[in-house]
Amino acid sequence: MTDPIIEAHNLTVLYGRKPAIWNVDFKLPEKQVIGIMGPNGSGKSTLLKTIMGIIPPSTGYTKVYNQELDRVRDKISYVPQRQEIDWDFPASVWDIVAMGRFHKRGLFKRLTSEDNDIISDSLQKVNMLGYAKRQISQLSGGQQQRIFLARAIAQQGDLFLMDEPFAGVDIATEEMIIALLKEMKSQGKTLIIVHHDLHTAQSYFDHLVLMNTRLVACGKIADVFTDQVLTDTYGGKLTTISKISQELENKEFPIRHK
Amino acid sequence: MIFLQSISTLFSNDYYTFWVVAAGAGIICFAAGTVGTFSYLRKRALLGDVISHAVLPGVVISFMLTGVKDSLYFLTGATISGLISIAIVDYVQSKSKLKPDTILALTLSVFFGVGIVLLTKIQHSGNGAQSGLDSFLFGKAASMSLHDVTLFSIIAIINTICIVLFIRPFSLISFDEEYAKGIGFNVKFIKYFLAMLTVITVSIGIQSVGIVLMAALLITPASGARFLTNAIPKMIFYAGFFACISGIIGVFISSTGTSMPTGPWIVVVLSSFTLLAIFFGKEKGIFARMQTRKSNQIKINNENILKIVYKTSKEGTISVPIQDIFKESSDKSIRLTLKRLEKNNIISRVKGMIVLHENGKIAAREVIRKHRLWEIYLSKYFQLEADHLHDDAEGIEHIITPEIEKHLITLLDRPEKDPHQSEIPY
Amino acid sequence: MNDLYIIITACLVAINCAIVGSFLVMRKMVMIGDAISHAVLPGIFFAYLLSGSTSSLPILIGAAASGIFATILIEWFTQKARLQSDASIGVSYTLLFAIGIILISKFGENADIDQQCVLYGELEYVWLWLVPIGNHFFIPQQTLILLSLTLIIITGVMIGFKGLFITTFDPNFAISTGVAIGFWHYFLMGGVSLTTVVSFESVGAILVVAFLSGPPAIAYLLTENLKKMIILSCFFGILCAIIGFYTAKLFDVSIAGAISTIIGLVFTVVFIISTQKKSKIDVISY
Repeated sequence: MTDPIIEAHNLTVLYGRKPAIWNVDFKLPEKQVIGIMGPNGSGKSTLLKTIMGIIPPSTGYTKVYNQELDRVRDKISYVPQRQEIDWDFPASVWDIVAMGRFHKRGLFKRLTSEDNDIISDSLQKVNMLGYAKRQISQLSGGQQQRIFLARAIAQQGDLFLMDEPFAGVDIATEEMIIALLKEMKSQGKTLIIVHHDLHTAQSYFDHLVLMNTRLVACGKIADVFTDQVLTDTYGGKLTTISKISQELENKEFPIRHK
Repeated sequence: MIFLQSISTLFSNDYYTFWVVAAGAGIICFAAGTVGTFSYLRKRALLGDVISHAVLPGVVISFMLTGVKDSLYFLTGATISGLISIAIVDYVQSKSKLKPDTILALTLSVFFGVGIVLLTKIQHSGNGAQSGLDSFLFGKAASMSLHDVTLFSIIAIINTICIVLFIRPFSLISFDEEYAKGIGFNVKFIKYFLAMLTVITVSIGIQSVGIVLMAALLITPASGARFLTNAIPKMIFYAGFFACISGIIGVFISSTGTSMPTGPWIVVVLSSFTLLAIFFGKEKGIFARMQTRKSNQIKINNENILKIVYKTSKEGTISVPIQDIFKESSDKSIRLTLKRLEKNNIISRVKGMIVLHENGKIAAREVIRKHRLWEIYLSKYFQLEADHLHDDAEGIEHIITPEIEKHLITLLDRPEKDPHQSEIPY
Repeated sequence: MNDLYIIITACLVAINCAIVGSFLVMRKMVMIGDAISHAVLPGIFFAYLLSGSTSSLPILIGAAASGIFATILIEWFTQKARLQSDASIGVSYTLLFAIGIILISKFGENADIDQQCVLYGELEYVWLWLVPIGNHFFIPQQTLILLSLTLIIITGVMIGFKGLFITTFDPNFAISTGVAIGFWHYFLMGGVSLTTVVSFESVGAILVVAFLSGPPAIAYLLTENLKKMIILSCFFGILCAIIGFYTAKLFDVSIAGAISTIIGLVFTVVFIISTQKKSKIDVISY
């Protein structure tokens, strides 16, 4: 594999005292649409959050572009889970998408007209320019997802990490996002997407990470999208893992000796 | 000395009133502690705070209407305005985008503000009988009459009996409301009944600790009891018991000095109990957890040394020069660990050599076995390269219980060799 | 003149609380403000004991210290003792408040703070301590302190608006772009501590909580723009303070109590209007 865009090395992430991600090791290729899949509570979102530095790993590390995250933040766009947000927040669509420019401009400087152009363009790309002044509390689920996408586009990254962008959106939005993904891929962007729906996986992704606390499979979709792998991924948590997690939680054991 | 003297005088006949008041405070606090356990379990600690502030207008209005200072009227007024506050919190929450914490803070301060307005109104109107109404703010246990104490005690006891009778449904809705609904409980009724009991308890509780600190009487005992047990009935008992003792001690302390408010003292005593429980409680207490961690570390250190001795010793000898162990391990506590193992008769030192005893040998083989089993497990289920297995196994080998080991052996079909082709010692 | 002093003081408290309160409401942290406003009591007392004066600076420092201590205590209870968060707040502030009340009851006679004024302040007597400005103009000491705090808070929010905005709306996204959310948390909590502490002295714990939660809640029901919400809540804070003051004068009751009551009334009216409006929209859209 030529230069991995993301590498996870012996990555273990605890949630409370229990491992949410356990000893996961993989490399992801550039310029692909990559899906991260697994059942509920399998650590998919945690994985994205760890990559983005939101949750610290307890052992191991992740690298992006073979570097520390802080050096390459400019190149990454992130779309958090829509459901984790309070959509009654008093803000307009424009306000939210403008956040995508805060990092480039710094928190203490005004946005320039160049920024405003980028924000307009991003809204245009998701067909939401007409809604720029709309309050976010009035948006439908699909529209909320679109403006999150627009915010990520406004960040102008080469690598997009998206947490369940298809969850609870209308068909039109889903199709629009898919078209957008294809366009971005053709521009040489890398897209990493936490996804739920097995039926669409094959048509959406080039590459797939399947996990259930542990890594079950990682590779080209044709290689890993097999009955055996899917049974392993979705066939429930391994008893051994649950038992040891229980020990870790109850008996206050450290996950590594030191 | 003075303290002992004052205790001994307490048992003389002159202190009849003290005991009446102390008994009253004890019973009231007991009731609050038991009901409060469910406020704690349902994560409604701050709602208790709201209720206790919200009873003030009720108390004052009942006085304005009747013109007499009678505990029964106060109680009725307090209960009504407490229930109204809960209804308002529920209603505003269901009808607006405001979040619970904002609604709680707003309801609390507005009700209390209304109470203060009414209170100052009476005070400024110069009604002679009003003096003492503001003692509701910080408690007035000391001025409870026998009549009050009897009334409060009866209510507190009925309350506690209700809690005991309804312990199951209350526990159920605290644990999982949806589930309770699913198996056919009338959740709405249970919730309102519990709310009712809470409001009544608050209404009598403010007589001893006062409005401002009433929340502590509900929540602090349960917070401490949580560290003593996992069982809800026991938790309720501990909470009630500590609250009761604190009530009595608080009354005692405030009776020793002039201008010593009862409520704050009860809260301080109660909080001390809770802090003690947080530190020393056998369930999840801070020291208990430190102890577990320490014994884990000892187990880990022991097993690591045994492993090194076993592995580095040459075929058949099971003895190793001490220096070799220092070479193998970077652990700083090696000397301590060696001493401990020697004391427990697992190893012995002979002329600068460490000799492993039979039981040590068994233990060492056990750790190595678990380590290798875990490596096999990882390589089979975790998609890891052979050189990524060791670190994880170094940690997990100490955690695998005999039961998990058995499970692993069956699962992996009693393997002979680990991924690095080393033999697994059974 | 004295009435004017009282009104200006109340309005300044209203503005300070409305600004930081707006962020607390959006961050679901109002009850922490409540806890801090109660927990500053022991600090005020110790500062008095150590400095031997009721002058404002030591008292301010003492109160701020115990406000910070309260946040640390709450965090300790949740992190180290692993107590659930609502119970942590409840246990810590009642303990600190109880200690404060005991100290005041024991030594309070010569400290001219008493139990009641802790709860509903001494707004009525704010004109007792005047400091001269220039030759002919006098202003109450409290008012002067509040005014400087208002300037600090307004400057702070103007400079830090984007940071507060992004970390309040979507903290995870903020971290992902490299924003230090810890800094912004303490930036806000510092503002909250200062506000509650300074306001506590003049209006008491209860009105602080009413000002922190009420006007922002009212404004939140009326607007969907954070900046407008802050401005509106300042407006409603001032409005309630003025109406409350005259109500208190009219009926001869506590000013702090009256202002809280008015806040409650205004909220009720706005709440009813907003629910009516909402149900109308529902009717149209179906």
